[in-house]
Amino acid sequence: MAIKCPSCGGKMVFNVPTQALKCGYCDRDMQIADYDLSNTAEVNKDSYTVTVYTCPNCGAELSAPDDQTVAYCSYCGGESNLMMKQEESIRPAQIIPFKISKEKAVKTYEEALSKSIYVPKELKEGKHLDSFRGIYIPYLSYEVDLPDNAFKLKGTKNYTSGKWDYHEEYEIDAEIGGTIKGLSFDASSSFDDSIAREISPFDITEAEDFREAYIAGFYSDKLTTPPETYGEIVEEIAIENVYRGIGQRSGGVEVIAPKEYSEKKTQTRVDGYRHRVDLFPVWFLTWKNKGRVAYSVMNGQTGKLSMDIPVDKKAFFKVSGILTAVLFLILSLIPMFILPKTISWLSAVFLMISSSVFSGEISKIYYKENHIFDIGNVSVKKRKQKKKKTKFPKWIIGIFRTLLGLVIFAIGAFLVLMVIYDSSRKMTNLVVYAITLLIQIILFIKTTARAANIEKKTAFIPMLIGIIVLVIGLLIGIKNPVYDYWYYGMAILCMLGMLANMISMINYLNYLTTRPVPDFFRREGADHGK
Amino acid sequence: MENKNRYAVIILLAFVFVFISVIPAFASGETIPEYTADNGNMAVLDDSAGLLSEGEKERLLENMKIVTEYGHAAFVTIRKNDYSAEKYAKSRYFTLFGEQSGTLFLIDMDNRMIQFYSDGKFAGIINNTRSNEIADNIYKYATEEKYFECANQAFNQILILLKGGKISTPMRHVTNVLMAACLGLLLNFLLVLLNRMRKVSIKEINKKQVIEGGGLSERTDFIKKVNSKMISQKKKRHSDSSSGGGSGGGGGGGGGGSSGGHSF
Repeated sequence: MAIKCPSCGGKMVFNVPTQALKCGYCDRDMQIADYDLSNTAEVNKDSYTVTVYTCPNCGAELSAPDDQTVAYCSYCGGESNLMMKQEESIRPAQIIPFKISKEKAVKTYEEALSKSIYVPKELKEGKHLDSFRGIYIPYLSYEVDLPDNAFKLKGTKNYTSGKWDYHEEYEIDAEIGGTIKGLSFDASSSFDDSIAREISPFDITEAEDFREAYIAGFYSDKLTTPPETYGEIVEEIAIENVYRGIGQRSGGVEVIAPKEYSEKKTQTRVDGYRHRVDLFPVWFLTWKNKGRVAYSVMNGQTGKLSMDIPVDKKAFFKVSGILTAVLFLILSLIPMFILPKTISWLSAVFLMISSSVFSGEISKIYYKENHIFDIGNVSVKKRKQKKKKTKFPKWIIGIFRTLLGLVIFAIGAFLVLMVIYDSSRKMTNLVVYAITLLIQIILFIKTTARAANIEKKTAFIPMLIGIIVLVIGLLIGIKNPVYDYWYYGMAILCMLGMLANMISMINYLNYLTTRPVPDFFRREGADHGK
Repeated sequence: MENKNRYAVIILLAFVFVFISVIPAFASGETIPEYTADNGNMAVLDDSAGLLSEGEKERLLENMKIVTEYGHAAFVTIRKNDYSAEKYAKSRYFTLFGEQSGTLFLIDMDNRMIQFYSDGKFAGIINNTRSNEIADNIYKYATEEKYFECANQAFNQILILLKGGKISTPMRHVTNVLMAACLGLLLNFLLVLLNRMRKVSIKEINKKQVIEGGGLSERTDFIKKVNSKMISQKKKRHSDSSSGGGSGGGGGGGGGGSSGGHSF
């Protein structure tokens, strides 16, 4: 329902600097409490009426307490008319009102943008800045009850005093009981968890009891995440917090908690949680370019920013060229001659490094596009459960990591010794090419598997080029020809392979720093909280 | 008959003349041609591998004589070498000239390497980089079995450097361009990655942030009572990190030579 001015009947909106309502027509200011007093009938309901705007392109839904002119969608950047309907929505328990005004948000955003390098011209021009939109994101706030309970624990304390190192052991008798409050997680599928993490924390001590007047002039996102999604982690955090608190109250003793989670749960008697829905403020900016969207999201309370900033490829390669020229001058001034065989294996190592960076990038895209770590997105729950089943025990992973570390150390030591003692560089080239080829093949397999599950299926091509180049290098290493042009040729091939990686990396970096146009028509649990 | 005798005498005299005129250059009097300049510097040509003809040896020695204006010069070829070319060149240099200034150019047929070793003030001019550059410029001659051209070019380029000139190093520029391009692209990309780095992991929920956000880090009101009793205490004197003045830096240590080479 619309918030109307008691004096002129005009539309009132929440004014951030004064933290009060302001009439758009007669400029009358009104305290939130005063307004709600005149609308007491509305206060105690479990739900309230909102106008829901649905984007016909992506299915995203935003709601507002009154009818507003909504010309674009904040999630997909679409500019078609949004569908509008009246709906009853769950009344949130608490709300953190906006503390950062739109003007301040724009200024902070522009300052942050100016610190970024290779920003596309279109983004710098700021034509899209008008679309900064204030949105309240639903958060699930949990409370965990701790039944009255007493138990014994052991703990240690290490400290240094003067020239002495002390190690003390303690016995602790603890009595607990009460409620752990204030564990909040975003509860909107449209709002990416990684963004939520980046702009957190919100200080819930500044939260107010929810009143519709707070959201006048703003939008709110829809609650889509079931409360049980975060149940497990809420209990984990609560239990950890109990042991941390006991240590803190014991004067900085490090408490030795039971190793098994089930034992901790039994000891603390944590069993279950309560939840409620709160609204937290964010400023949301969408930039749409070539079928992708880039979000800039600001914590409306603290001003903390999360920005998707694509890279201007032209500027990147221009600066790379300048950097190459400068490095060439420096290298020319240094009295150093890099032997052709040395540059050949060095280029192979560079190629391998660029391939591993590229592979890491593809992994990130894979995580992002498939919402692997986006717990709030309910559609990934099944996949996550599947992943858990195939997990190895920690000790096996530990042994594997140690062995891997030893192998890498041995290879590194071997290479250093080779370089020192193999003056003719016969073996060095062969060994380096064999190792880099092996690593390249492993990266190729990993990248191909990941690329099959992302939008860009061609990500394996640069890795394949790398394999072909390194196979040629290995053959040259075996033949060990005298003429330098073989080694220079190899170095040039590695360079081209690296260039292929670099161009792909920049392309994919843009892919990574932007997002696919969302499709919320497909989301599961979209009816939750209606 | 008289003419025949006259011819025989002329040939004999010519042989004697040639023999006598060559003697000063063969100081050791054996198969190693040597030349000692007025300043005491020597040019030694030991073609044990038999890669040069007599005429080539003479022409090369003439070229090497110019080097003696600056220091010693040696050209050595070997067929059998139980060590690396670098080690052999160094040891042979010390046998010939000790620690005096000069340069030795070796063609090692066993290791298929050409190798330079320079010492004294030569090592500052024909340093490792320069040695490698010259070797890179001339190894093709050795590969094509043009050993005279290889050795002659070696001493020509050494002379250019000794006279303060610059030798052409096209391959050095090629390698530098490649290195610069590789490094330039990688560094710039790392710069972009750093600039765009997210402050939080995309992989997991930061529990610390959740605790701080809820103001839980300061709150312990759910703990009603805590009694802690120390049951043991151990103390040990902690090891001080070493400090104090370092020992004086080592002296010059006689400089040491420079070397560089290339396979062929």
